[in-house]
Amino acid sequence: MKLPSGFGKRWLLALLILLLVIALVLLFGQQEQVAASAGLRTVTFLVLCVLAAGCVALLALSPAKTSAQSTDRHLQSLTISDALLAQITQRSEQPMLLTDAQGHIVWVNSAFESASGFQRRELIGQTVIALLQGPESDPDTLKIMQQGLLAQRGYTVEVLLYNKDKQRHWHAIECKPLFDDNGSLSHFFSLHRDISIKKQIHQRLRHHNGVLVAMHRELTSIRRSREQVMRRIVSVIADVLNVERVSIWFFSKNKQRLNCEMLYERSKEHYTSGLELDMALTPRYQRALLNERYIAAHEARSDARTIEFTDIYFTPLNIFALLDAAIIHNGDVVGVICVEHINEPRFWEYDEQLFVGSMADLVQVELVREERWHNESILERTGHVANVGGWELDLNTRKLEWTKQTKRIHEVDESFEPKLEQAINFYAPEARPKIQHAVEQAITSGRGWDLELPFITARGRRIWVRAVGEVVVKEGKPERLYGTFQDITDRKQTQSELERTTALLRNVLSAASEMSIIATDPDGLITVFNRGAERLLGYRATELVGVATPAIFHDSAEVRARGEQLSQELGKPVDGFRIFVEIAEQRGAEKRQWTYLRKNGESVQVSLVVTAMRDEQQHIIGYLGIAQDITEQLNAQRALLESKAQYDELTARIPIGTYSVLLRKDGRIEFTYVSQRFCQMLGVTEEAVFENAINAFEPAHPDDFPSLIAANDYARDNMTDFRWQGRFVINGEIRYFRIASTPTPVEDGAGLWNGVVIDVTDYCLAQQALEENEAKFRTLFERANDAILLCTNNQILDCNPCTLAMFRYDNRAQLPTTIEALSPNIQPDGRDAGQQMQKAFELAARDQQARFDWWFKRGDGSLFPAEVQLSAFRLGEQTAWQMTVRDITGRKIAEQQAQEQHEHTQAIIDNVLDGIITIDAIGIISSFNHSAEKLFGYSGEEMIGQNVNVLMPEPYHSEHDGYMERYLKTGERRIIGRVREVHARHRNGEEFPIELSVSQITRGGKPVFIGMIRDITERKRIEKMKSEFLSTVNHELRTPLTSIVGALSLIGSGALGQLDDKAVQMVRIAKTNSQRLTQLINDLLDMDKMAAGKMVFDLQWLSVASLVEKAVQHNRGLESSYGVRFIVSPPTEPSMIQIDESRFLQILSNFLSNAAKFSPSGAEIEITSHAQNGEICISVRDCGPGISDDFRPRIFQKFSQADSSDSRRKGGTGLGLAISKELAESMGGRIGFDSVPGQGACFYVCFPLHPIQAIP
Amino acid sequence: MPATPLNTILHVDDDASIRAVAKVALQSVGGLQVISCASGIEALEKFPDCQPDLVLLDVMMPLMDGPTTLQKLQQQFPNQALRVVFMTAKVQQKEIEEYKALGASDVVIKPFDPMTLAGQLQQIWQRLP
Repeated sequence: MKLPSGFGKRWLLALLILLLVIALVLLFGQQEQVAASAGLRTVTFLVLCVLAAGCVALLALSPAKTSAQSTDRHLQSLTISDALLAQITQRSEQPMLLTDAQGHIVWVNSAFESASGFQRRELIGQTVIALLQGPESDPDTLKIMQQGLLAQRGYTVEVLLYNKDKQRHWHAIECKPLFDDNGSLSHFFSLHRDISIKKQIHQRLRHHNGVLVAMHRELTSIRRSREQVMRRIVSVIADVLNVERVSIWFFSKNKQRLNCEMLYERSKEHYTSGLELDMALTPRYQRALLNERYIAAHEARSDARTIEFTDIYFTPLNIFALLDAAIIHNGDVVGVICVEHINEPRFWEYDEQLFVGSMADLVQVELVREERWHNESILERTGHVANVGGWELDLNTRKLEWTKQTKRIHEVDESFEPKLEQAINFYAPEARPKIQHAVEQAITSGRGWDLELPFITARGRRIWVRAVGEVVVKEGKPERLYGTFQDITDRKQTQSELERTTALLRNVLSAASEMSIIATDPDGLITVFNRGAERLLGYRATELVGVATPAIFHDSAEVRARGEQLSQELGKPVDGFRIFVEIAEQRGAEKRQWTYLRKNGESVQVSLVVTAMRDEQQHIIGYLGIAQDITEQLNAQRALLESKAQYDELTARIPIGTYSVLLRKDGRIEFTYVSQRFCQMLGVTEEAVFENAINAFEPAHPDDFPSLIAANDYARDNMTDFRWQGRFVINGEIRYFRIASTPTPVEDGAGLWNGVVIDVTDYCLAQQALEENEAKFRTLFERANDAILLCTNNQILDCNPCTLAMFRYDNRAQLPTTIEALSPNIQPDGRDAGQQMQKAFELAARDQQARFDWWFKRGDGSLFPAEVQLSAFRLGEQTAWQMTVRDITGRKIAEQQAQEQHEHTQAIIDNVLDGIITIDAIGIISSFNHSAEKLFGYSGEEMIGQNVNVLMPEPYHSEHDGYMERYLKTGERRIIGRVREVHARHRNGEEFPIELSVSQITRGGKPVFIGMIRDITERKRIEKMKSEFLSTVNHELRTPLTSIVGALSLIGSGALGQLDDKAVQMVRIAKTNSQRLTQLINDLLDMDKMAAGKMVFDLQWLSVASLVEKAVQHNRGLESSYGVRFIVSPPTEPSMIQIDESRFLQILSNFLSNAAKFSPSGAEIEITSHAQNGEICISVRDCGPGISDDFRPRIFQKFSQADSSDSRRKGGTGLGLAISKELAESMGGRIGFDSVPGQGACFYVCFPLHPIQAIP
Repeated sequence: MPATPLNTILHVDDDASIRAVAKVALQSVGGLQVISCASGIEALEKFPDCQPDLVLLDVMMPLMDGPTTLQKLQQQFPNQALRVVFMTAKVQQKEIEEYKALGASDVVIKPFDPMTLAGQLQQIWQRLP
């Protein structure tokens, strides 16, 4: 085989270079072992090693060149190595930079460019400190960095840096020195990590922890006094923030003064109170406090808001920084928590501000609690404090007593009788000496104890208790021990969980990450295995370089599974090494989580970024895998989740929801955290809120929604605190929430608001009720028709407008200042007014109220009677009175009038002829007048109180009670409102007829019945006589007439022999007049019957046609007498009417005889009947002169005829039409006529076609 | 209708004028045989002898009124055909029903028309069973 020209030389050169490089590697390798911590140096050298190998290979394979060409090739090889280095570093997601020995930047990767916001050219030559520090960067840390550079050792710090846009970022920086071949410092290599999120989490946790612990302690401990709470709050703030002075101030009512309720000086551990501050001296501060709610003065002596205090306060007390948070109650600034830092200025962190704000909220909660507390009894208070029991030990008898709650905590029966030894044995063994010692100490020294100790209940549960004991000393000797006993297990658990979680988080979040870099050739043989990889996997590079991947550190099952997945996705078999690079080759890079197996058998989760390395011709020259151990990251995530779960569990125990929300400049809202309680309170799910933030606002009450949005927008636009209170509708119920949060600026001008949601419904409702009551009272007071005076025993403090009107004073100034001056000296009954009023007040003081009648004196001197009511109320320390005065002049007059009226009425009642009896609802007689006495033979005295039924014969006597009962129950009336004739029973047992009318009135809300009784014995007797007389008249007059008419008829008919004409004429005259007399008698009797209501009708359903036919047949005689003819038209349709036949015939006969009488001879009289509008009308139309206009109104009156001459000519009593009208109407019909004078008349009678009620 | 034609009437009325007029009306105008009685007692006495086809009985009479007379006749002559027509001014439907309930065959209204009285009685006779 023939080798190319110069081949031997090139190989030789290549070999030499290779040897050189190996020597260098060995040399550096040793050095590196000395400085074993510099992982990145290892990276660099291993990479260089590979590059050198590559260089050797290339030189060996490339055609032979000249010496100059050889230098170029060397440079070329170096260029390639730079490119490779660039590929490695640029693909890292972590910012990296290289500086010279003085710290000036000589190189940065693109991750650093994007993190800093600067272009590479802007960065070169600058120092990190000069370029990226900002106002809040910690000077100490910057100093450490500077010193690290000067001392050539580098540094590891966490520092707050600012990017080009002045946005804050926390960076963790590892800066390591790089030395050249001579061992002198050449560069510093820095690796940056953005830890802003971690810092935020730390801040949040710190804030949450502080608030939670404080809140939790408050809610689970024994109720403290206000002073204790205030002390606790100021000391907690001082400890947490490490400040010298913390104080709580409250405004006076007019906001002109601030009064210090509690001031704590930490170095002295000293509490004071009672300082005052005149706000007039510090108007700027007052304005700032009322408007801004937070004053964070980092340099208080020059801060415009607090500068007013410099000379009077800050300088004497050496105060440099001030942090104030307003205490807001009912939407009003009522006070302030003031935190003062001495000796030097101090930057107040946002979380610190939020913390103090939360404490201010706690003070507000305390105010609300105190308001409620104020109104509750000791017993109720005890009920409020969960799990607190009591105990008492008599030292003389050694008898120990436990309250029920104490027994409950011990988990023993209520019947359990404890002994002291037993009681101590309930404590956990390790706690027994402590409690034993505490008890002995108490007995010997008289000092109490307050211990938190482990405890084992009767059921074997291990819990924590807080045992508090006090000693009662009598005559210098301890007599009794007593104290409280409380289950604090929850609190203890919570605390320890919280501490554990916090520690875990701190470790996890501060753990540094490492990068593992493994490179392969195109076939998957490992060419680079860096120190990071060594540390990560526990293999040495020498063990794995040259080994094919998948290698021993891969999880073969995982690799196989990924292979199957890829094969399916890509539709072609992917296996072996291709599994790692297939996607990277296609898409440039692939980031994926893998499991690596350490040499020691442990598995580790890594995030592996695989990229394909290409040369200038885009040929793949190998693959690069950069792996980051994410085990800890995953653990951290898990720990965070657990922490969140625990935090949620904690927050679920207190009535406060917490949240973090990101508000972006463009209006977008994203929740980053919501507690379980937050979701419960708003009735939303975490998922819904995270998906769309508006879901959290949706339950807001429609009326309050705009203000919520406005508050949100304002907070966002001004990067200021969010404060809102309003209504939410949760499950159909209105709840009041107070929401408060404080912003932390994050990137792009957005802010992260961390805050709390507090349910203040109870408080708001109580407040509303209070305001409503006040408003109601004020309205009542102002508008009352009674005079209302507020006074002490005698002095008038206030009065309403009605008072002035009632007492006739023009204004308040004129009104006397004492009650006494409003009264005459002597009351009308002769008693001394002063003494009497004194007595009234004494009585009222005893009973808290009094009511009495009183005469007052008006401004004009006139007197008036009044009803006075005195009610006591507390006014500060003394008793004050509300005196309500009602002018009863009108009532007195009315009473007098009523008395007169009563006497007047009584006089009438006593003097009327009718008996008047009143009874109550069950029939008991309450009055019985003189006439009633005469009627019944009883005296009023005898009868009042008796049942009225003694005055009734049977069956009324027995039925009356039932009747009353039925009436009251159903309202069914039988006699009330009617006049009825009934029988009554006299004292002597005789019955007599009475006319009874009963009316009902209401007296005192109860029904009273008044019966008017008229004895109608005499009337009945007369009626009977009249009836008998009429009967006699009827019989005695008719009987002779019957004979006369009969006889004349017989004579006139010629049945008894023919008479001459004159005799015939005389007989006819006699007969006609006899008939007239008969008719007159009939008519008079009918009229009498109808007037007395005694006409009896026999109603039957009858055919109209047959009735008309019968009537005409009965009156056929008239046709021949008057020379007329009756023409009957058949009815339009067959109809039935309910009628008394004879009375109907009487009406129609009257019509027919009138028609016949008034029609000229030869006339035709039409009888028709037709139905219309539910009735049928029978008409008789004649051809007579008609009815004149002046006669029309009288035609149906009794004894009416058109004129007397006409009456004589035609005959008749003048009663016929009147009787017909009465008859028709009595049978439910009507009667009438149509007539045009000169053209005849048409009389008609109409009856309903439907059934009518029976006529009584 | 009874098997024999109407022939004998026993007329009872306390008023002599009415008795006279009725007798003329029934006998002269109507061609019937009339026995007049001035009281119920007289009627009870004469009834067995004259065996009338029909008794025309006034209602309101002193001592013994028409209904009582009818009852007495029924009691005393239970086995004889007794056909009684009341002649009265008291002719309310209720009253007529009362008369019929007592056993009266029919009622003739007072005042009566002497020229048609006999005809009325003939009509009643023909309606009788």
